[in-house]
Amino acid sequence: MSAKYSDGASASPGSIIKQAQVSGSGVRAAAGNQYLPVLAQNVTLRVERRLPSLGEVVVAPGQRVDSDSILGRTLLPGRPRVYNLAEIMEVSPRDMTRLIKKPVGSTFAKNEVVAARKGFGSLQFKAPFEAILSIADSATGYISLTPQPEPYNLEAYVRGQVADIIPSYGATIQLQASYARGAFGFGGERYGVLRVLATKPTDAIDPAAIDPRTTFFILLGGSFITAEVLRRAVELKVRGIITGSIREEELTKFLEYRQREAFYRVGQHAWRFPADLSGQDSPLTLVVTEGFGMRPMASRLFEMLLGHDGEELSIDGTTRLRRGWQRPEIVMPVVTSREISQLSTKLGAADHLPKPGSTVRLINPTYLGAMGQVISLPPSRRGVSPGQLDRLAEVEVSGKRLVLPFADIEVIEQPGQAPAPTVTSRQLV
Amino acid sequence: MSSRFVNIESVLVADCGSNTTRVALIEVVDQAYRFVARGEAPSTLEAPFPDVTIGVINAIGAIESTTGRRLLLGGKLILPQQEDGTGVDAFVASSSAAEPLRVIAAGLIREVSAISAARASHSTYTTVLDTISLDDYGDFNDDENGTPGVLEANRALDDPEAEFSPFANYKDRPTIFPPDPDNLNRDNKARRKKTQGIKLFGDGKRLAWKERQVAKLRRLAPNVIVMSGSSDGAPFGSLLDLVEVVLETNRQEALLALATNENRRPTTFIFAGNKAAQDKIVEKVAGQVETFMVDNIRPQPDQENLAPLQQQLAALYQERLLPSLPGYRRLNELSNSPVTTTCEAVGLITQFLAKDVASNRVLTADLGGANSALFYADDQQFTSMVRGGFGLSFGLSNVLAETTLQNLVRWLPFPIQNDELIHYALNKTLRPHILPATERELFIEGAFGREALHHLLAELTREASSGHDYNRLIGAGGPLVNVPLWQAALLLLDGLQPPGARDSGVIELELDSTMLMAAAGTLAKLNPNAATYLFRYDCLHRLGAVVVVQGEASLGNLAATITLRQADGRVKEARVPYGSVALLPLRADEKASLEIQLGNAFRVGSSERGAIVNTAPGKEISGGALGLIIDARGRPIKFAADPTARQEQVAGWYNVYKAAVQQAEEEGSHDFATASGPAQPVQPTGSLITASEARGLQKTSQSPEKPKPVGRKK
Repeated sequence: MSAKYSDGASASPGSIIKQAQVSGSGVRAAAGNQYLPVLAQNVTLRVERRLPSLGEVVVAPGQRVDSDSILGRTLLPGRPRVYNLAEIMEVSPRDMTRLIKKPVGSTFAKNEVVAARKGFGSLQFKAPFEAILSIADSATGYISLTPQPEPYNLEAYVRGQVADIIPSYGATIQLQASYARGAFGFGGERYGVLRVLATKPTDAIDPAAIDPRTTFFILLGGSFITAEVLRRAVELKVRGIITGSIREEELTKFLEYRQREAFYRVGQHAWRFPADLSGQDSPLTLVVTEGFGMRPMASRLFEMLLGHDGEELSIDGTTRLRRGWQRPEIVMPVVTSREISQLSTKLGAADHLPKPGSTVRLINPTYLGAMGQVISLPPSRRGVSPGQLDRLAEVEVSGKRLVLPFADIEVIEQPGQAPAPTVTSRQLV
Repeated sequence: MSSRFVNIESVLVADCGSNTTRVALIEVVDQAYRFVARGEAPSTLEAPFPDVTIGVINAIGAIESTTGRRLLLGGKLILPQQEDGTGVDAFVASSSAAEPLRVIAAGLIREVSAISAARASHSTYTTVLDTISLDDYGDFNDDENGTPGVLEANRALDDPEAEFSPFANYKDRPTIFPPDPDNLNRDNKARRKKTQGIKLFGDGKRLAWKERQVAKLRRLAPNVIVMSGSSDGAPFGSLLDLVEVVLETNRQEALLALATNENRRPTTFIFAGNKAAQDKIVEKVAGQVETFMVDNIRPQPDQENLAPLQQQLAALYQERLLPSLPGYRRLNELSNSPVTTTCEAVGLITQFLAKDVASNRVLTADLGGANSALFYADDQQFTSMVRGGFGLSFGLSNVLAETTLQNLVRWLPFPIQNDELIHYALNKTLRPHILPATERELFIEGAFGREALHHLLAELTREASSGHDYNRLIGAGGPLVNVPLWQAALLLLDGLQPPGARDSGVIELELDSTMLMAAAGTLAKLNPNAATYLFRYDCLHRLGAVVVVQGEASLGNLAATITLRQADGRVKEARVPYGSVALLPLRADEKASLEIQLGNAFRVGSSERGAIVNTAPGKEISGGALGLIIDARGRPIKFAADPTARQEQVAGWYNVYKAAVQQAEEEGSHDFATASGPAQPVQPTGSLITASEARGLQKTSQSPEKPKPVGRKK
């Protein structure tokens, strides 16, 4: 494996959160500020990349960049820690300042004495890390130690061409790609080569398939995965996994929740999901495309991903359900000229609405992961089962006809659009 | 009525929910304000349309397309109404979609004052994150390896095990009623901790407690800290220790803000305790933290006065959180009166209903997607329980966290794996807009709805020793209104398990099926007369009257024999065994006398067990879209022990309506014909008395006043 892939994540999780707060998912369709559908084939994407704080941008418009190209640099200030020094030194807050060895703003090496009390019961307070004494408050007796700023490099995350520069903050990268949005996931932005571990959307990843050959790859599974697969993937430094579904029990086992109720309490941490991981560096990125359970991946998405076997793609597992909505994403750069010349997807609001002939993905709990085709649009109704007043669609799913509310289906393809690229056996593992 | 209202002939009332934005067009028709049309559109709160007014305009567009009346010009509302009939005179809005207020309740004793403060805080969209109290010894294990005095920035934010709702682990906590709060820390865990060699400054035991509370406050970052404690006239020295915790937290946060050069969200402090302590606290706080003083919520140990605190919280929500709604400024500019909260609007209507007719005692259950609420009002009091992040779409997994799978399974007429229930809740939380598309999904969602209501009621009645006595039960909110009527009725009856009015044992069951309750409440601020009209004539859909037969016996034993004599001479009879529910068709515009022969172990309201109960002459009972419901399932509802028998029992409840409709069809009756549209207002009916009392008792009820005609004559 080349050195290019050896250092894993493209940014520290702290910076990812900051970026998320500033710019949301960052991926937009090129034409205006259009909303990307859950699955878009061969569209022109614009990916906005921003430094978490003011810095230097090192690329120029028109420049071609790889996923690991550095776009900009800055220094990230450390998170200060507060210490009740008066309490530690057992003195009054006013006396505390006299015990400090250097003035505020000074740097202390690790284990260097910050403050000392001499005489009977002498006490010392040593810096637990290399830090700057940022504050010493004689009113409260507290001091704050700020770690040294760390250099931060902003990577491109996707392969493409620099379209615009955001002065001192970053750049927008334009690329021709297919795009898919998942239901939920965890872990930050990662890029890597896709390795397919399933031959059909209903296949689960076998833990034995996670071997050293999968190290640094992004893996594609079909239906569900287990905690064991995830653990093995972490051990073998797999970059990411794209899968159809996961059982709640397996996920909480992997995330080591002692109380499953704590996992259910969605919304307590700004609607981030799963709540605890957003503050930590997840060892791998997981993108679950359908949801919880043992469900197959929507066949059209699976086929689309199969078509990119052996190619580099970029994924982000960050999930936020409300207040800055963000879902996991998969960006698959289009590489063959055939795809570019033959396919083109026009995005528009009307395209998200089902109409007779639309290929749809079913997202309600009973049929999660299934694909179907809209036959007709019966009139809406209220007061009868299913009871809700919503526009309805009659959908044919594996020979069965179902009447479903619009809310329960997602349009994958409209009639007249070109089908997904044909998958040949050469592309399968 | 002030003159500014007189010229309002048409008004649009918007309610922006977490999932759906609804707009109702109210207009003067035949000299009265009436509901004309409603439009719905998905709420627009997130990217790519983070502006709530876009959803409002879309919903108004839906009204335009159904009525053919032009209300918008170039995507903007035409205000006021023009000569050619386009546009409207006014626009008002309410919302439940803003973030809930994050509250920490503080009190001297967790079980008493802290829980009181927590309960009072549930008057608006709040999430009570935790409580702090003097008797919170906590678990010191998590700090075992930490250096004393060290507080990492956001260390505990990453703790996935943090417990947030004071009600979540309420049952598992040992009950502690220490005699003197000042001596609480004697010989407690903190003291043991000190002897384990941890260095602490000064009075170690007190500091360990304080440090713990400060860490808790910093970790949870509340918007508001509500403190209560100490009855008026009692000593209040210990309260100052709690205030010190608030101040210490504030100091540390301010220091961090200075060190990082970041703006930190300030915490507001509300004191609702001993009046005599107010001056001391103001002196101690002295400009360090924003503070509000309100009346003591527990002036006497056995007395509660929650209203002043609730008003303060509502004002804070209105001022701080509501503006965080994306597009709030535009919505407020559009609105003729300040944007209000949906829970305030529904609460207002519940109070109005209780005051409108003297004998009304009303419980309103508003089950939403992200928030749920219960409101109780009679002519004396009004209490509410509003839970943010607790509902049937965004809040579904929070409901799952607070109930048990066994409790959910009992409501389902089919066998189910635990996984299916858990995955249903989590998948719905991931995609909150999806709707139940199969009967099975509808049942599962119904089970969650029942448990959500059950939890809300438990919290509402925590302080009321004998529960609330109500004779009108109103269901509101999408998950209740969008299901078939019988399912909605069962959802209310199962979730809340009403015991029946204490005197008569009868409850009027109604549904806000036009979803105008919030609209009427919002409108009341602009034009009370219009709101009254709207509510009386267009809002509630009467489902029927419910007779609750109470008692206990073996399942299947006869609980009551019901004889219904209609005005046209028809007589209907039903034998209702214990553990079942029965339905007798009776229209809302029909009156019938009722005779109940009770089984030996059973009673209705305040009747004797085994008595014969009749409706008083002139006080006949009237039905509704469903008819007369006889609920003889016991309180609490008794389930069969065997799972298969229980499933059959529950399926039996669901099938009652189908069977009743089938029977009515066979008999050629039209009793279910009026199953749509709200009924005309009726007085509470169903005053049941025993045969021996039939002559003596006459129930008094004040008839509702008819509102005066308004508006310009066309």
